[in-house]
Amino acid sequence: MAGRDKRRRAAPLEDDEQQLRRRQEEAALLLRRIKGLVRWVVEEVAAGRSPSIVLHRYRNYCSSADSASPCPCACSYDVPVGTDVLSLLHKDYHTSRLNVLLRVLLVVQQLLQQNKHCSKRDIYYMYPSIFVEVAVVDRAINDICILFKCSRHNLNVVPVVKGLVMGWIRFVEGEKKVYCITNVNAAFSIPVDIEAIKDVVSVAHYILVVEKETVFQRLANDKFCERNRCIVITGRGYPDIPTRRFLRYLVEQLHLPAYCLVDSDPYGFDILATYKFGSLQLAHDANLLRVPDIRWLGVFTSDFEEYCLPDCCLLHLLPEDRRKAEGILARCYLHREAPEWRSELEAMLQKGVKFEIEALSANSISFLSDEYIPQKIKQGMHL
Amino acid sequence: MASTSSPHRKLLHSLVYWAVQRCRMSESPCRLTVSLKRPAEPATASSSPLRVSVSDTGVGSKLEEFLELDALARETPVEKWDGTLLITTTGINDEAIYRYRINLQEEISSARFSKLATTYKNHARFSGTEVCLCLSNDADVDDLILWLVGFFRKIQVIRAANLACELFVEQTGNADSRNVCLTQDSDDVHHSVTASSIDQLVSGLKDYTHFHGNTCDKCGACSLNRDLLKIGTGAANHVDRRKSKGLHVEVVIVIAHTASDSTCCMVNCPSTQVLYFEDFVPCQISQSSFDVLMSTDWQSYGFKLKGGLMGDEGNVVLEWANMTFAPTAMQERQGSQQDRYLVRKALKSALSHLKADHAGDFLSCHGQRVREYVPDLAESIAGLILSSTDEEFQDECIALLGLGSEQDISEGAVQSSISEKMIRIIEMNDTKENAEDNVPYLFECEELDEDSELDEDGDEDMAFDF
Repeated sequence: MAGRDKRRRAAPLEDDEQQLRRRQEEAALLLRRIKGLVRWVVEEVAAGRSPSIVLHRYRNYCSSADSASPCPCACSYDVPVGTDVLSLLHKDYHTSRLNVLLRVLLVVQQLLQQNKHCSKRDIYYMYPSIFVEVAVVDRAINDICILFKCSRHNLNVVPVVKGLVMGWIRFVEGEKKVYCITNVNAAFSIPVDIEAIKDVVSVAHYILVVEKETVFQRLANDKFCERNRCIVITGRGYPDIPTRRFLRYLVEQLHLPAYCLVDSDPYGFDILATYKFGSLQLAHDANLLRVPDIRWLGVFTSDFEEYCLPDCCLLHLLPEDRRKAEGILARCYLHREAPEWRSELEAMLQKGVKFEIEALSANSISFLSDEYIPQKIKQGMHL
Repeated sequence: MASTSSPHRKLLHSLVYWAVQRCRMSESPCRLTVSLKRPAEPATASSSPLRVSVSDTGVGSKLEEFLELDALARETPVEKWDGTLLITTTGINDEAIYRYRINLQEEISSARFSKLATTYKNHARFSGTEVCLCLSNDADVDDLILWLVGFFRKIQVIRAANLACELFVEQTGNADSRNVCLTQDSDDVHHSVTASSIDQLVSGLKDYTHFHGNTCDKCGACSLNRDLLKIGTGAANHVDRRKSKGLHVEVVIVIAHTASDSTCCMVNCPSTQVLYFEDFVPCQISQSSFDVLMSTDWQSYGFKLKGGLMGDEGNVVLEWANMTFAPTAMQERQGSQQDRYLVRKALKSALSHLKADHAGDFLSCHGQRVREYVPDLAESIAGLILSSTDEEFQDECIALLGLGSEQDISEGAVQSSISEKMIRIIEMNDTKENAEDNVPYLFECEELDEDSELDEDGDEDMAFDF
């Protein structure tokens, strides 16, 4: 590494002992809250009243926006838009939610007491007849997080990670050393436990987020990171929580710009939007998971002509693509926060065409790594 | 009045109706008898007619009501009924028994009535009327008899005070005659002639359920289960003092005990027969009453109505989607005025009575769905209590449940306690919470269809992550 390269070091969170103590305190607090809730439920039932648990409802976007006059909706990254009441007396799907919530809480209490961890899939398999599917467990975990104002990792529910990282960075995750820098073209798993990250050092100038694993591999094969001082991340499709948290962590700690490269189609755009604005499903945690300053590098509809890509790579938008695009166009955050992104998506819909990032390799295999990405970043050709 | 399809039935219905009213007007116990004599030879166009007589011991007839049969007489082909009635009647204070022939087919009105020979009573005090007529003995006679048996069974349900009804059907000229004899009897050991009309109705309906409607044989299994029948009654009335006429509606609902081991195949049948009466006589249900039945909120009582059929004879059958109960409902009205509001009120009162007396059996459909979650909920809460490492917390919760301070409280005991309390909460609140939701939320928002939002978000990949 040249000495002139700026070494970026993330401020250490805390040392091991402090971290352990903090975790123990958090676990104890959560256990107290669980007992408090259970005691209250028992009191209500014993007194002949239906226990009614009020849950805030969060929404980081809605589809009521209209391009002519964007109406002020109640969507927010911080403030709830409504409440749901889970009890025995009202809608029976709320009773079902209460049922699932309490059963997951039973598992969580055991995990916290025994200092163990498990995945939501593990929880599902403990009581499959009650949960019916993993998504139901997922929702219950969300409900508990909203109720206790905590995050998933506080409940000792851990994810199975999907995302990959490579490039000019090294860090330690708990006991494990993740030294990507030793081989900048090799893929490493994104860390599961953000709280356990320490000793982060990076000499990267920027972070590149790519939608697909195929593109990630393309860059690795082309030894992109050898010639470009950066960190490359992929969520392998819609990014999971660890990927989103890790990206946000890097952006906050290393103060690096982040660029996003997705296919020129509505699904690519949706993935881009997930990185920037967060998802509806995890709206309550949007602030922790979104990267508002992420830049859209490409590929744009206009790139097709600009880079003279072959016609065979250009596809027509299918009816479901159109429906998806129209749905996204209606989202209020696009009006408010990214009108130029919205225009680009509108242009895509109007032209009625889509193409993948791989189209850029049609003329020359390494075009993406050699020319497209470095040029665009250097010239600031992003949205 | 009844508008049954065949002219014979309409005619008999009217004659019986008036006979019942004459009996009700009398202050002493009365008897109503219908007798049919059918010839033995097979029915042909030229065979001997069916001789019918409708007789009662009520107040004497003034003959005016028979003139209402004018229209029916004109509609009926002469070969079916010649329009002639032979009427014998006497009032309590009359000195003689009068006989008349009425011929409704006669064009000249003055020739319609012919007075026949009278018979002196010699100071005897009695009253009554007998109407005799001949009907064609055609192929429909068996149907007519079947209908008449059903009709009488229904009349016997009502048990109008002081009225005994009988039906005799004889086949003459044949050694092996098939006879039908229906007399008033009752299985109810507590049956008393001084009971209120609604109690009589309850008793009558209980008996009726044993016969499953039109058959002549009692169902043994159902008779044994008589005391297990669940009954709901309701009444509503309206008195119009200016017109000195009141409208009184009574509804009785009888629900049969459902048993998987019952030998009776009708017990678990998911349909209900509705018997409708006007002035103590079975009648075709009015459209407004039928509408009330169809639009009642059955779900609040745990019933899911699939549909209702109104048959030709004005019989109503209600079909249920859930087979938990096989109700038989009955309705009675007095008075000539139709009032949908009163019918609805009486029906609702009967259903509420049923629900109040048999708590838990008639939980609304919504309540039943919620109740299904109780075992799992109780298991979770019991688990949360007993798996906690905080013993003080455990003791506190157990004490709150009123389970005492025994050393070893089993998880089963805690679960049962929580279950029972939750079921009670659901039952207690079922009367108010029969709609989806009544409680206003502080920040009311449009309904988020959570599942579709998840799909739209494309986060299905998330399912593989954790």
